[in-house]
Amino acid sequence: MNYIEFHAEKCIACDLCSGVCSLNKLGRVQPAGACIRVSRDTGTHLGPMLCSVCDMTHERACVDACPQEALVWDEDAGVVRFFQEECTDCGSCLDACPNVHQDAVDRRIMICDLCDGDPLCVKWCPEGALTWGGAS
Amino acid sequence: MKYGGYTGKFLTVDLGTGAIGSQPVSDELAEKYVGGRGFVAKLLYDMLPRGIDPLGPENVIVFATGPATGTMIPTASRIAIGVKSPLTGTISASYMGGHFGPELKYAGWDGIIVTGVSEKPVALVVDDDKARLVDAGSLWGKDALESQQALQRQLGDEFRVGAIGPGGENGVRYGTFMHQQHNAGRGGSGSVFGSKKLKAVAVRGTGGISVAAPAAEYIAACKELHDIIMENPVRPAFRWPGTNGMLPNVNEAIGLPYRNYQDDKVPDVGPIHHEVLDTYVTSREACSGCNVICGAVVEFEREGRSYRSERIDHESMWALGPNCGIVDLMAVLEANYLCDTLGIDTMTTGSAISWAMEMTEKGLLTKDDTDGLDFTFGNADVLRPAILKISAREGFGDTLALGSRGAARKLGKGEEYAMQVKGLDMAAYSPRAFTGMGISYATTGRGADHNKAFTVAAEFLGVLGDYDRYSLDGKAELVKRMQDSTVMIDSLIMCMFTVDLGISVELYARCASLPTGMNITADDLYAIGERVSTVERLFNVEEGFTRADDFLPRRLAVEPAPSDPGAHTLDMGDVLDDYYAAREWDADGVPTAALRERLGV
Repeated sequence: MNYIEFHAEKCIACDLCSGVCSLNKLGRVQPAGACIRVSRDTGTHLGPMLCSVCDMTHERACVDACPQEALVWDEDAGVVRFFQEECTDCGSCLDACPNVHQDAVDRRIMICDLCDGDPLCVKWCPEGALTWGGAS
Repeated sequence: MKYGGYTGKFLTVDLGTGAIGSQPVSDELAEKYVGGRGFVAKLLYDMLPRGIDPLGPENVIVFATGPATGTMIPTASRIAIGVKSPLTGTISASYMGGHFGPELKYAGWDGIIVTGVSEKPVALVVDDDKARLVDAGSLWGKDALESQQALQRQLGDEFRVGAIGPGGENGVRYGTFMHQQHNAGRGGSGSVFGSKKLKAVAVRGTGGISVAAPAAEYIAACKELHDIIMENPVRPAFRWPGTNGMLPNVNEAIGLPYRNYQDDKVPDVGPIHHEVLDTYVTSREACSGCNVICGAVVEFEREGRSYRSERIDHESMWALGPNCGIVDLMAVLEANYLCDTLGIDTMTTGSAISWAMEMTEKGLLTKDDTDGLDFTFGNADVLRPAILKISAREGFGDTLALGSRGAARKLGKGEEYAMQVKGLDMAAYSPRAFTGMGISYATTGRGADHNKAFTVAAEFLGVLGDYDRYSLDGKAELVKRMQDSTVMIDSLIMCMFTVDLGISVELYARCASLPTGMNITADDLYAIGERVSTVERLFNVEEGFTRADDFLPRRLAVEPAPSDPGAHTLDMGDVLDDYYAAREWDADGVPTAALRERLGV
């Protein structure tokens, strides 16, 4: 199984990962609507970095939570797929898993599909904080 | 708005009435003034009556992003904050990085225009297209970091927050606005916030910003630009020591001002060398959209007090350190942290202290004048109490809160030891060693600023040519050209460091064209630079500034640096005439009618 690994100690909060992800998936730069979100724990001054992206462990809580067939497990690719025409914007998937995101503009559910095996966020990370994990 | 990269509107906030609204950004404003510094120049020129008190109710705060801000163009994280400066009386824009500018764009705003005065302390909360003023009485008096953290707890991690500290609240002439630990504040924008009782601004943007080009094409074009920086041989020098790498080099070149510009070389920079500073780095930090990564977090202790802070930068290290004759790293790091969190500009603070030190050395100030504080060159222990007194405007601190020139004028002595132009103090590059910096200090609209034509790149780093750094030959034209190209960097808004990292004027034009869809050439870019420089000049001329204000401190012309075997000095001589001619300004420094017509201003 493939997944994206996050190394918090290397992350420098440049937001290039979420920027390029949103540009690729949504056609505009919208980090809050990206499949990957990085943020800083603001409880401490210049505190540690956090990352939220599908970890591909595939407990698939989001799929289980979806009352329709808007989120579907794609076994061949090893990722969850989203179908907007089936989505009723009920928010169940967002409640079920913190690594599921939503594009606030078009209400699309955003969940990492690993860019068909060549994740842009990994390519763009300037510090190696994101790496390609699992089997190739 | 027909162009990409813009949201097409400013948020307007009248603190007097509490009215919140929006104002469109016209296509013409975008074409002629781009964004950032250009927007600040045009809006303040049009909005401000002449002759107002910068700390009075009529001043206006303009937050302005540029079309590249938050669009993946490398380093385009910055936001300009423009005011009529309470330190200089000139038009003034200061800049900060971090994540505030992009977030404002994602919230749907190219900028914020703040007018009027609030009766009570307030914070502005911008939550996408909705904005509100909330009571900030509980934050007033808190430092800029505590204030951010309190708001962050109230609003959540997703908000990007900035605040002023006591310095801005109390009307220190050089108060700053701080987001994370990025500061906008040379020229004292934070004090204008204080005069308006605007304590803090928080922004959350869940929307996005659209660019002109199709996504795949745009991603590929941006990647090329990022790769140019990534592969530049100079990048590792920025990535690890940050700007601090400059200090030993400039010192070795006998160009690092020491003891209030009495010399240009520090006998021993060893204790504050970046290799020592590096040992305190515990993690790294960048602004949004940046792959240069000059930032880092340091942790240190001084006299039992523990600090976790953004790593100090070269200019702040110099101003609070060598220019005060100090090479005590812990004392300087503490002073930098205190200036940041108390909300006063590190460089102006350092220069006010170095002025007091020279006044003490010359016997013009004694401990009786300074509340017993010992302003002897090299006394690291005076930094902390002096900074606390300045930010509180208490005792002698109230005098230093005016800046070096203001302090000299208040006391009626020692203006010749105020190392400033137009009231803004000079920076860490001596004009005796880099003549272009001298012309830049003398002519830049907001005073002796090192970042509006960083000629050191062409005179020392070999990035933009190979000029003789001691000669004035060709420098008037160099300064003019660099001031104009810097306008574009400050308007897009990108980081100054990209100049040294392979981003040419042609590539800045590309960075302007890609998100907007405009077809901007290098020639257009220079024309925009001339236009913005001219509007800034007109503002100052109409405020009463004349040729006499484009000067350098006399010391530079008559006192060579004792450490310099070449005994160089810098007498500006006729170079101002050459500069005005290159600018098409008349002999008094007033933009000619022909120029105004050509530029459409």
